[in-house]
Amino acid sequence: MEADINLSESMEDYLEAIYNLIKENGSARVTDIANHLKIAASSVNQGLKKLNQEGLISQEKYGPIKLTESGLKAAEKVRCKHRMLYLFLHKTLGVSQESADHDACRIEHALSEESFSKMVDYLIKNNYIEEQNCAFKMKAEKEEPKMAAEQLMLDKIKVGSKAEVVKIESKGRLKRKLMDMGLNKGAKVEVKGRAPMGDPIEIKVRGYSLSLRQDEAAEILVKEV
Amino acid sequence: MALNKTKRKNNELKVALAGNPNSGKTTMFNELTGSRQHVGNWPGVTVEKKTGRDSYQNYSLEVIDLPGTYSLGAYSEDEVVARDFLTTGDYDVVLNIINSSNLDRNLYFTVQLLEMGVDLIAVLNMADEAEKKGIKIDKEKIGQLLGTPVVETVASKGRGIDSLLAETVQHRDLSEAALKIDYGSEVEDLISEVVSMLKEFDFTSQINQRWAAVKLIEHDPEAVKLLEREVGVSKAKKIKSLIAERELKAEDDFDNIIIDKKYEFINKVISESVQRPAADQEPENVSDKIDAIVTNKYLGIPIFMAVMWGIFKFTFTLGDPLIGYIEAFFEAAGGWLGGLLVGAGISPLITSFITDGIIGGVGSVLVFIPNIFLLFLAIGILEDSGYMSRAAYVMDKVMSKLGLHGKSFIPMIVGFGCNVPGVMATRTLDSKRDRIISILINPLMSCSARLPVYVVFAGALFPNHASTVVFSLYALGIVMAVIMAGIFNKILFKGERSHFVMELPPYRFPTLKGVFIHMWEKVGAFIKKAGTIIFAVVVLIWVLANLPLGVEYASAQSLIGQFGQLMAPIFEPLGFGNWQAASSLVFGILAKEVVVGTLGVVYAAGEGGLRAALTANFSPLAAYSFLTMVLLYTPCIATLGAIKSETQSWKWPIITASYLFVLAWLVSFVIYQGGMLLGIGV
Ligand SMILES: Nc1nc2c(ncn2[C@@H]2O[C@H](COP(=O)(O)OP(=O)(O)OP(=O)(O)O)[C@@H](O)[C@H]2O)c(=O)[nH]1
Ligand SMILES: [Mg+2]
Repeated sequence: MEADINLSESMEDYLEAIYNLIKENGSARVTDIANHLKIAASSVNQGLKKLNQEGLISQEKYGPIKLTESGLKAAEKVRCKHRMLYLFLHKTLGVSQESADHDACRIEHALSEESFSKMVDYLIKNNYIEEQNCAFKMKAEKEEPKMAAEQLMLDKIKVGSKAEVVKIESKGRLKRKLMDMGLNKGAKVEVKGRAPMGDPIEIKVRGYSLSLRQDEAAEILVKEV
Repeated sequence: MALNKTKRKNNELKVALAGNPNSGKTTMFNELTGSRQHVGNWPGVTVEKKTGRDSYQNYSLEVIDLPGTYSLGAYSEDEVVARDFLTTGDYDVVLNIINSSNLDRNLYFTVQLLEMGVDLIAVLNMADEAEKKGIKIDKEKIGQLLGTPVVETVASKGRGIDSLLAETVQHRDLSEAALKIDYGSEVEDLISEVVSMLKEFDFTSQINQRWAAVKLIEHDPEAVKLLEREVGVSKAKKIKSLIAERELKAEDDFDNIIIDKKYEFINKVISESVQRPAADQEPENVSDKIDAIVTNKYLGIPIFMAVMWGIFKFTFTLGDPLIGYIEAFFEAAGGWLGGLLVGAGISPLITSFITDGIIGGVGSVLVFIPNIFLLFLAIGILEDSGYMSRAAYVMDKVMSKLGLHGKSFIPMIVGFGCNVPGVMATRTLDSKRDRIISILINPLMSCSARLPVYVVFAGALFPNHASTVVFSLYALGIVMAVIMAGIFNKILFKGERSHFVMELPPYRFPTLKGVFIHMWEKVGAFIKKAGTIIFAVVVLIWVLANLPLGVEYASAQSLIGQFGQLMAPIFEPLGFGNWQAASSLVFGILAKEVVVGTLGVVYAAGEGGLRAALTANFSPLAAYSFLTMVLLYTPCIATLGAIKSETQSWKWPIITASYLFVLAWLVSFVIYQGGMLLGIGV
């Protein structure tokens, strides 16, 4: 996943900015990105072109900018590095919040995979981060398939099996809706059945029956129990 | 804490019913106010605010029934109605109707209201179902943990209503404090910072600032919008970026943390106050067993088809003989009354008004009471059983292939009764696009008002195949709906991604009371319509048939005849270019039953009643073409009005009216001309 894309520092900044803007405002536009990064709109356009070529973003004419799946992964990764660095500097070394944030922002682009993974191990060992943290997901994706096999998406669960929700990976309204319906971390679910033609599926959660489509279930990370 | 709370007299209370969908709010509302609002066993029955009155001791209560919602972050139109009322409305106390057999999710909403500082009474409804499931709730304890009064009820059996009323009038906002959930140091620190920033803004003096801060921190779009509206984008931006900055450093996304903590709190409340049977001692779940068959991979769709066919058969096979009796009654009454009036020397004009106008017109509509009765009985049973949601579930894949949503099936089924509630029922669809398409095709669901037209024509011209002919019309409506949905899907704006996250309620045995109330309401409405709008139109037509003065009654020279002749050429290529058919169609836009009413008036002059007149004036092919026209053409004004108010624009009713007319004309044309070519039924 990471070997094939080697992003320059500014590209990573763009990705992070787009990610944050989408999260904050629901969409990212060129002017917003320019404001966010405090650079000219023309250079943003150039950067976006590159990201587009790399297949990290997609943009319809005059439409808002969207992150593709690999773009989202890359952005989450940068963000995760940022968080880990911040935690490392602030919590273990006692660097002040502002400096830790600022430095994290600079170091994140240069940090090697190895240093990142060692740093995460250290943070985990000393209980600075909890299991829900992004680093765990990154590790789970990378490490031996054993760990990955334990956690899978809800649509892969067989009818009649039970599982526990680890994370909702959907974004925006759908994520909120799923969580409002009681599908949050730790919720126990049982797959009760599939509709004719295999879609949607019926699950039992918090004592009631809920239906959702396959592609919605495919955004819910669970572990079998 | 409501924003617009007005001063009321001491003994006046405004009470709102709120809670998750399908928790029994409307059942409770009916029980409290004696109203007969629609109750059904699927989420999203109530889609608008309803008001009723009740009195208790010397108190006068205004009760408000709201649509159900799972959270205050509303997604669909009906949820927005509830959210807006609860966050900005004018009320004294909320009766939070809770499904006791599903506390986890129901309390999630309760907790949101309590955090907002709403003055509420927790109503543990469906206590009977909780008991059956072996769930034991310690009322005192749960009340203490939530800081609210608690009442146990069974709304469907009227149990606990008295104690609820007693609690409601006694209850006075004792503490101003809202529920506080500990969100952990990271979020709590941020909350206090945001609160201190919010304190500077005037508008926050009337709302719970902590609640507002939490809403902002979890990126609630409405809260952000409100803030931006009140203080301007740039000041709002300061708060937003503070939150965004913190989130970057946080353990997890803030909305995850906040929702997790809410559930953590609820789990704690439940573990301290509720006893559930151990997993192996749970009573068996009948709903799951039924579902295993009804939504089965292979059986699901055949069962769905069978249910639809069953409803249809039920309505006709049982209704047909009854219609015969009523028809005979009206004919006899007309003849007898006519004889009596003439014998008594009453002027022929008045005699004609009574026999031709009223009995011929209104009577020919009232004949269909048995069908209407049975149709709504069947729909009522369907709605109360819990099958509606399953129909949506089973059909979702097929529907989404057509660019629709499984849930669109519910408005369609409702539309078989009447298109007005059918159009309104689309409110439960989250995506605007799904909603518009569902609205546009709803009139293609053949409503009960069109039934009289089919039955009278089928009986007259296809006596041996009446039910097949009528069924084919229903089927044609559905096929056209499918085709049109496909077309709109291609040409309409692209919408946001829709989802199918929907609760499937437990199957319940339809209650006699519920089903009969529903049926009486509808039959009552039908009779009332016959006595008002249909009566008025029929009188108008009778008058037009007698003018200009001295003209032969209902002849081509009468005003209605001349008007019909003006319109007739449009329908000439469809096989019914006579003025009677043309004018009945035009007036039918006022209400579809009027088609029969008009024909009753203008043909009443002939011997042998309406059926004989139809046999004399229509070939079977022309009749089928006419019925196709009635099925598909411009919906009645009530439906157009509903479309206008649901879409908030004139554009959609105009589009609906015009596309349906064109569609109807084309399909009838193909049927008639095709039939002529092949020489069928000429
Ligand atoms: N067993 C049982 N069933 C109940 C009770 N109260 C309501 N019901 C049934 O629950 C179903 C839903 O009732 P409604 O009153 O329509 O629920 P609602 O909360 O108004 O639902 P929405 O309008 O969809 O939000 C109906 O089938 C009722 O007959 C109760 O106390 N016990
Ligand atoms: Mg209701």
